[in-house]
Amino acid sequence: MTITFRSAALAFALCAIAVLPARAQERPFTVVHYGGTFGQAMRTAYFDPAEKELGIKIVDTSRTDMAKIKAMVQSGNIEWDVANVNTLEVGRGAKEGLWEAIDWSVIDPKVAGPVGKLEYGVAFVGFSIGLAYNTKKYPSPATAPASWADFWDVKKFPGPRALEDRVRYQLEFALLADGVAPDKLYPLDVERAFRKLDQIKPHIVAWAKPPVQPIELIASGEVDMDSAFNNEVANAQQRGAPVGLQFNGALYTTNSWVILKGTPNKAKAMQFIRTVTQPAYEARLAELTYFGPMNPAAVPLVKPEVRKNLPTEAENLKRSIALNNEWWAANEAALIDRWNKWLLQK
Amino acid sequence: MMEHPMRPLDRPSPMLHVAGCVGLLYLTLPVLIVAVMSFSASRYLAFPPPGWSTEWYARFFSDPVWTGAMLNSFRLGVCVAAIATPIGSAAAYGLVRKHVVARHAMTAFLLSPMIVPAIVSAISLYSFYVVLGVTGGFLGILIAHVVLAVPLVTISVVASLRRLDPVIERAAASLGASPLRVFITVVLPNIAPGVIAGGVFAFITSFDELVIAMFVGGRSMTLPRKIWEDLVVLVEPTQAAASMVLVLVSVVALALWALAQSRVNRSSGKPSA
Amino acid sequence: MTTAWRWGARLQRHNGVPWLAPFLIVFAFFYAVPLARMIFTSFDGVNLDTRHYRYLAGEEVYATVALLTVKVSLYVTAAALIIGYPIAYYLSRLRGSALTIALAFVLLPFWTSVLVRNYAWFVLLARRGVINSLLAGIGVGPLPLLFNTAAVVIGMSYVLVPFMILSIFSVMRGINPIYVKASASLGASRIETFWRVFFPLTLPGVYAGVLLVFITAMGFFITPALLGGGRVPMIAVLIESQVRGVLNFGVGSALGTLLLAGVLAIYYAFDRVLGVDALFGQKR
Repeated sequence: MTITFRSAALAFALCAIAVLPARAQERPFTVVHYGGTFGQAMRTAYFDPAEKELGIKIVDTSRTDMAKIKAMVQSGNIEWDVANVNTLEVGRGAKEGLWEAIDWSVIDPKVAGPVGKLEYGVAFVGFSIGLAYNTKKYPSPATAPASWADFWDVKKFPGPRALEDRVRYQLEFALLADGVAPDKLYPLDVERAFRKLDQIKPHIVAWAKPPVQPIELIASGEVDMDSAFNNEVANAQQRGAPVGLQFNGALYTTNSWVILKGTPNKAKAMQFIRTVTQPAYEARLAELTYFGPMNPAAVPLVKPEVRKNLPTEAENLKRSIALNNEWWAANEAALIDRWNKWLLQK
Repeated sequence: MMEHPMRPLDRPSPMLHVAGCVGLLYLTLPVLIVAVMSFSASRYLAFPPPGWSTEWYARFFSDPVWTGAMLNSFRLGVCVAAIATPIGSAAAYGLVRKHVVARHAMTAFLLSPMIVPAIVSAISLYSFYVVLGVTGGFLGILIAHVVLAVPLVTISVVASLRRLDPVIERAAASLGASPLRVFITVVLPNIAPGVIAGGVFAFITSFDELVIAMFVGGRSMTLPRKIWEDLVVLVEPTQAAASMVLVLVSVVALALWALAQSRVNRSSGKPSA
Repeated sequence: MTTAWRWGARLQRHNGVPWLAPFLIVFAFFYAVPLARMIFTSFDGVNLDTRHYRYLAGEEVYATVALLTVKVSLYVTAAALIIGYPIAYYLSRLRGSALTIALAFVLLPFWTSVLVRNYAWFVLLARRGVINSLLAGIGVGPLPLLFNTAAVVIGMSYVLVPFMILSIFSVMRGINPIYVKASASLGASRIETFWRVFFPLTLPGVYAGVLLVFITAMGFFITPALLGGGRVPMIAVLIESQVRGVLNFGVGSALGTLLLAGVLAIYYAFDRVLGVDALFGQKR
């Protein structure tokens, strides 16, 4: 077999043809989210119907990453148009000039529910993160861990545990375990929280990557308890995984839509946000994820048996503690560094 | 160094056979396990699987994100092979046959991507692209993978070149052929196995590569990168299915190469290596 | 065209430069320059300040990371050698199609994605995974085999063993069996023959394998990240989190430069002491 000049040139030409289409394509409208079953549910409840309603193609991807967004905005190469962020990141990102201002003439501020009219974001779901445990090991609620103090109590509840690999939420859990009253939680006593975390660190078998690994770890029996989002727990239970969630001591927080600064698709982005915050859309998502919709008009549309389990339901909301967005927006950046160093220590 | 013909040692004892086979089993077992997991009926990591299902393969092939990533990886691998092979072959020829200033340093430079940790190359390119105002993308990964693949091509071609007696090239030159013509018409046909092997290695290296694709990929999603990002975000046996697809492509590539090898050897009358 | 060729030929008859030009250009722009830039960034760009290095030196944790990286790499290299040497020996005793098949087994993990191999170790090492299930059968309690240093060492050894096998095997293949026969005929026991005749002859392959595996292990990212559960911060994992996680290019570049310098230093030292040029075949 001889490799002639001709065949080499042919290979090159084929390659060029293969490469060219990749470059000529314009970037489609892209939404980034946190992935997991939440992301999958959004595809069904939001993106597919919105594509039909708006007549545009919507590409969704994961995972929202503030550092990546910062890099994009700084370099001018915007890969994502709309991002699903935690509401605390709306303030944080606004400070760093990462978001476009929301055009409230296009949307009714009432859709953002209790969070209301933010300059740079539109809230759309509320959910909780709380203590998740293995229901095979703790089958009855009487014997199961009932609070974060129980999570820290290795004598009464021996066994391997996990926590998320980031600082957000962990400080609150530590302080609650240390006996701080929920209404006296903020501003967080960071030193006290880290001291408490030092206590539990030797029993942490893995630093789980949200949102799904905490469920994996319990389902596979690797750990007996960790922290997980209520939608992931609900989803796992539907699939028969032995995971239970403790609403006592759970943190309640919200997510918002933001538009990346410098995106060429700002008008489309506003249309997208307006579309998916409609009551029918948010109700659909609630039924799939057990996330509470922010749009009050959506709540009556949710099936009753789902509605009573939503974290936004009055009863459940009373038992949870609302995350303080302002505190985290102001302090998270510095804490991330401290947390990473803390993780590296023995 | 001339290879001398091996005179057979005593056949391996049964005990050695057993030990050896245990070793080989150790090497293949994980791949077998992933193969089994990819057909598991359970959504969660459970071994042995509670039942069998092809759901994950169905998900893989019906999801445009997965198939897009696979095709993109494939396209990338072909382009990397197409570009790295000529570059590496030419460099091999130049290093072995021609006068080169600082040959040792050049060789070290050419082979250095094999030593430099992938993470270092990845972040250096990542910040380089950021500064240039270029997002990563297909071209970004392509070039990075070419750099990674060239040493492999070169090593493979050098091995073939060494077996080729330079007399044949001198004869062609003395008959009036230019160096380029000598290379194309005399050398290439004889080192074809090495060149093709290099091309196959280049393809597989690119197809399987993760770290650089992760940093520099941007919108251009490759199969390994998709598996990785999903492993972090949502563990599902779909990744096992995707991994098996990866394995299959690599195995097919290797098999094709082996086939081409044996055919070349047969036609030129050489015994297989 | 023939005129151009003749003209070109006159200039380039024995010159290697045009053959190396493509590689040099590509490597210079897309490999050397970015690396140089990274080193430059680590020194804070035009300021030529060592503040990133001082920051790293100042925090105890980074020394821990460096030590952990070296420690894990040593374990991995030792494991790869212990597992790989016998397999290489077995391979060297096979012939014909048996050898081809065995080589295919060795190359299979080599060519299957690192992700595949890591995923499998989840299944094997989990608390209720395969290995612990088997151990439970003989009454040994579930061992914590995942998300720790042990898991990373096991996972990385597995990935790198083929490198060791191929390095050692290629040398073993070239050993003339006459030496072994001569030693035996002179009355040496099998053990003596092995240690004093065969093994020393395989040392070049062992050195090359050890070097390759150790260097690769030092820069490894995927396995420590996946199987470590956030508890095995090897330097590559740290680099990734600095550059991608917190966008700290300065510190990330400093770590990258240190890793690069370390790897090159080890390679140079090996080459000096043991002459490992043979790893890539004599190029002279």
